[in-house]
Amino acid sequence: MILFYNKDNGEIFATIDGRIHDRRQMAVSVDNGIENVGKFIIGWEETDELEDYEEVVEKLVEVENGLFKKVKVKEKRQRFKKIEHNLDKFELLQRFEDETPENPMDYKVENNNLIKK
Amino acid sequence: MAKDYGAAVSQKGYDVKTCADRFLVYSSAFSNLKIFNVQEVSTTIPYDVGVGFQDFTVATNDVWTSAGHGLNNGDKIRISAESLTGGAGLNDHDIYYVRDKTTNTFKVSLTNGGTVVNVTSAGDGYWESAPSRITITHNLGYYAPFFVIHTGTSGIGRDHSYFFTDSAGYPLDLYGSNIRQYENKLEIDIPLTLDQYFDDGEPVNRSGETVYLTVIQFLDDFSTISARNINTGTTSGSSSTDYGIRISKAGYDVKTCTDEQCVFSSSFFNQIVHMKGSTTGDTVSHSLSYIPNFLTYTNFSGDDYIYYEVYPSVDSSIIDFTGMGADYTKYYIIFKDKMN
Amino acid sequence: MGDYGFRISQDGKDVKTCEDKECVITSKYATLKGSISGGGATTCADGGLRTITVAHNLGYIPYVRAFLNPTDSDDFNNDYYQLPIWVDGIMDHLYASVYVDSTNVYIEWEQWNGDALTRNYNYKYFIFLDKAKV
Repeated sequence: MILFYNKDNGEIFATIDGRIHDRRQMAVSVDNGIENVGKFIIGWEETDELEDYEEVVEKLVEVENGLFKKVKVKEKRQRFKKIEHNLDKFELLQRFEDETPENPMDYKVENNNLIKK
Repeated sequence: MAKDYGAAVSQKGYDVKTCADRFLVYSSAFSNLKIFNVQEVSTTIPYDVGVGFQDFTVATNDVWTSAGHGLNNGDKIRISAESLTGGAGLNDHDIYYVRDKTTNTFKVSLTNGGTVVNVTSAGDGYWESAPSRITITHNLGYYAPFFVIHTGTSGIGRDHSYFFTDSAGYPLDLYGSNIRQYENKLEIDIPLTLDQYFDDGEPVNRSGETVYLTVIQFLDDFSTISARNINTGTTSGSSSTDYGIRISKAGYDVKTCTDEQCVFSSSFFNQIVHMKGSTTGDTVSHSLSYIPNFLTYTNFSGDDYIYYEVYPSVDSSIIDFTGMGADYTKYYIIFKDKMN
Repeated sequence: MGDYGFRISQDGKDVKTCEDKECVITSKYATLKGSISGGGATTCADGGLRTITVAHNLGYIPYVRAFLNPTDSDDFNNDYYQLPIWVDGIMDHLYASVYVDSTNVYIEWEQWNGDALTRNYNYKYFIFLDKAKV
């Protein structure tokens, strides 16, 4: 979720929904007359950058003629890198998304942290 | 709680096994609005053939009397909405061509110079300049949801779009008489007073300009789908791994096409239908415990068309049609998306 | 030519024989693809005009739906209303609409009321990838 806030007083005034934000969502700005606007993001940001990682997979390896054994091996894979933002606030994000939700507008941004007003 | 079966795809970052229904891009348990057709249409904004609304009486000899009407043969008029009393054989929907005019009288026909419209009882009402009418025949055979988006005129340019309004923000269909969805066709009437500025008290005259509209026609009907919840409550689970399903439109390579050229893609949220139907009542309960996205249309008793309805509101338990009355059938679609 | 692709029918409908409109989804018809959804809270002074501008950065004019929730009006429920709104109530008057260009979504409204008060509003919007101007 992207929270837009007034940098002068930390008041949150708008949000963008979601947990993994693509470049379109990251580029969104919201203008409601407030001049000094900041963004506080909870979740992940997609990038076009590939990164290597290893994944443990199960494979069948031939031990001897016709006899196979299941082994776990590490395989190198690639995936698009995602940037993490404030995942320590993930539980709060879930409360914002809940059916009887907490309202993001009841929070403010102070010293790069979300605190309840 | 209902059991889920079939297939489901969650939005990015949500665990498909545990996330609440509204975080699914797709689930075989819930319907989606399917786009039947997207069309761009245009017409010319009409010229005024009279002076606003003018009163008339009509007799069984088919003669309309309207003192000093100023009309010419071939001018197009219509009877102002809900103003007609008596006058069997006439209605406030058809566009009439003036013929046989004198200073204070005239007759009308349905085509220019065509057969005179037969009036079988005396009546009275108001007439006005006829709108320009666009008819899109879809032949679906039932009422279906639709959107009309005004995308500009030759005078103001075409770099903005306006959802169901003119460029001044005035609803194109405020009283439900200008955009009518029938079972087999959609009719859009463009009045001469497009782009009204009420604050100034004078409409902006755009007569002669070409007006452009995009019409999105959906395939779905309003047959009842009852409210159904499979996963509710706290949104659990999270994952940053990206995976999913992508289906391109016919003629587009699924690997290289743009997102917009997809029929469906798990990268983007979808308006999953929670429930739909119709009612003459004042309220419909949706059982979601949060405020959902919704869409409504209306049909007045006896009319054979529906129109986009702006008055209903929604809270965390109902869609509220209070004030509209039992004479109106309300058609509704409630989506899983949460608004609060 | 034979039909190909995939279709999934609604509960209780035979996928081989049901009509297209009885499908949950079918590759024959596109669905609206949601790109950005969001909302916020703000105020509007009596007799004033409030415009919320959301930069969507799509480079074309997308299809958008928007809703407004007047939270402290005399004549409106504290509910969400789909735009456009053009209502002259007994005490409150509210005109609201949404329009879009190739850069921004504009949710705009004006209000005036018998008490000359500033009113509070929540708003919500859904921006789709699908083009509003073909």
